[in-house]
Amino acid sequence: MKAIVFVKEVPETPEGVSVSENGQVQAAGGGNFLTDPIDPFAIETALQIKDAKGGEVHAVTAGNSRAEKILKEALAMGVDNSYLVADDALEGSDPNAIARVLAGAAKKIGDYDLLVTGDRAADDNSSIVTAALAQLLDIPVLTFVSEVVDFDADAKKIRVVRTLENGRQVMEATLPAVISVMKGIHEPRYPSLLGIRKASKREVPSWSLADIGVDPSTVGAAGSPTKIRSLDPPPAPSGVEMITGSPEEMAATLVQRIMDKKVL
Amino acid sequence: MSKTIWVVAQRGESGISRTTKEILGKAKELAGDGGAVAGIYCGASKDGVAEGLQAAGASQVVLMVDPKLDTYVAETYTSALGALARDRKPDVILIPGTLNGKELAASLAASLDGGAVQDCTHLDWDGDVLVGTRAFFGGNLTATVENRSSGPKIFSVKPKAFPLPADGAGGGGDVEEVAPELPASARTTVVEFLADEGKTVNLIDANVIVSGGRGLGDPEGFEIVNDLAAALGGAVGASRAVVDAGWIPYAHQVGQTGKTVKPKLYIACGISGAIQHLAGMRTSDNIVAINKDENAPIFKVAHYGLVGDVFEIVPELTKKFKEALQG
Ligand SMILES: Cc1cc2nc3c(=O)[nH]c(=O)nc-3n(C[C@H](O)[C@H](O)[C@H](O)COP(=O)(O)OP(=O)(O)OC[C@H]3O[C@@H](n4cnc5c(N)ncnc54)[C@H](O)[C@@H]3O)c2cc1C
Ligand SMILES: Nc1ncnc2c1ncn2[C@@H]1O[C@H](COP(=O)(O)O)[C@@H](O)[C@H]1O
Repeated sequence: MKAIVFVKEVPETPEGVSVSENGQVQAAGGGNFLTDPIDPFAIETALQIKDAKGGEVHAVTAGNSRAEKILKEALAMGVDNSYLVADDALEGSDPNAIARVLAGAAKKIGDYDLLVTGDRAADDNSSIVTAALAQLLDIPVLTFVSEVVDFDADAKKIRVVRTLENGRQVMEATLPAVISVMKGIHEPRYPSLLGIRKASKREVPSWSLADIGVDPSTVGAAGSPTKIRSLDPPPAPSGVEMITGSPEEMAATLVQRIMDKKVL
Repeated sequence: MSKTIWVVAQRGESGISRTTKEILGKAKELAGDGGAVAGIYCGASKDGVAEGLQAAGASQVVLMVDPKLDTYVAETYTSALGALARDRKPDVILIPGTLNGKELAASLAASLDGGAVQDCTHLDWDGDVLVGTRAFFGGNLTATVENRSSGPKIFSVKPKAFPLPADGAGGGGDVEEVAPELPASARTTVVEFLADEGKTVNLIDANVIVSGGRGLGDPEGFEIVNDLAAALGGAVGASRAVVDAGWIPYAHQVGQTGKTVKPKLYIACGISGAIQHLAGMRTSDNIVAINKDENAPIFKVAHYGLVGDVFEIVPELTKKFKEALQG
């Protein structure tokens, strides 16, 4: 079994996050990026399949050389290898373009059975990369997975549960396939001290777009089909009316307000 | 400026879904004078679909009917819709932003060499460019995103983003059946669907949601929330704290890692208003907060604030609403 997990560095908090002229998301003062909180769940999912069935797990991120840090964290958790795709031409890539980059990296690693992503990145909340990646690699996709029920590398099949708006859907796909996992699918393991020490000594190979055979004109600010024009605070709330009095009086006043507004 | 806008139809409890209708209403506005709004449907049965699409504003209907399209699967729907879009080149494709709808939007965009913008709550032309507005970073920021794909511009649209069009907004229009282009073999199969017990959990469509948090004290505390929800014909929501504590199933959770809701009335009972909770409910039309702590952050997004004990206030509300609604 060979799995590739896609991890992403995201700004630590939404405070001060902005977008550059060419559509690149920036953290306040240029700093403080960390592993997307969803990523440990994706890594754990792949590691549990490896623990049960044997095989290898690789981690990949596309971004900036700063992101080597999150790949070391993946190594510390127990993935076998980590790869960074870093190239100046990536600046301003939207998730649709990032999927092209990740498809290139997956092909370069080759021979995969399973690709694992988070269900949505914490910063852009797009839920685009997973299904786009599957389409570009021409393999099945199962998004919003809350449980992997069965993984059969010999029969080349995966069976999962997806949690949808109104219930749970059991689905099966042939391998290789892409899945996106939801938070809570498994409790992510903590990296051991030994794991952290070993990871700190590992080299993380860095690939350029040329290395993975991706045409730079199809990514970055110019090659991205969508562009963030601006990031703004959400509209200010209209202001609260505090209703006072005894519980009975408060209830009476509120019911009056709601009935007058013909909300019901 | 007249444009051709496709709206991908989803089925609802009866006929096409509410969100599909909402999007059709918006599409009509975006298409402009002389523009076309086409309702595009994939499924195994076409019962009532064309009529529903027309009534909500579609000026054209395309039905792709095949047993293999019975349940949504990314591969089959992308194949059918992708082939049709390559052939007919619509300017814009709008898709209901359910989880499956978002998967489809991303997959279809990649198959057409373009891009998707997800979960839009506003859509506007800026000259010839269609621009969407969407929540970013769990609703802490609002992103304005343009789609400049060379082919069809794909957007998924959040439920309740746009008002329901008046019935009979459309009328007439061509109905056409097209044989869908499907993959040779099915690599993905739906084994079964386990519906959530109790329809009361349908938070997305609910007009009224009464939500409970840790302020209810224990699982039994939810009784007062259930009673108020029942009196208002609403659904029951919850904060993550009480879902994690096992007081109520995950299907009820509102927030960043739960459901995003936009009812006409949202009543938060004993919920502090953590940013992750607000991300899921702050755009509700009317927000009522009941909390004993006057400094609770929930009051910052509320329209009406009641400071006090939920156990004293909520039963009173239930009683008074019952009286008002009967009278
Ligand atoms: C990555 C991440 C994702 C998250 N996703 C979500 C999410 O999707 N949804 C979500 O809700 N949370 C989410 N959270 C958790 C969130 O941060 C809060 O911990 C949670 O919302 C708190 O729930 P609560 O308001 O019920 O509890 P508390 O914060 O404990 O608030 C209880 C409130 O009840 C009031 N109270 C107590 N007794 C009474 C009484 N008798 N009468 C009136 N008021 C009373 C208190 O004043 C207090 O304000 C997430 C957190 C993280 C880190
Ligand atoms: N730059 C990136 N590098 C690696 N993986 C990514 C990147 N961007 C997104 N992903 C993966 O795709 C998932 C969904 O991202 P998104 O489509 O942006 O919401 C994330 O949880 C990651 O697993």
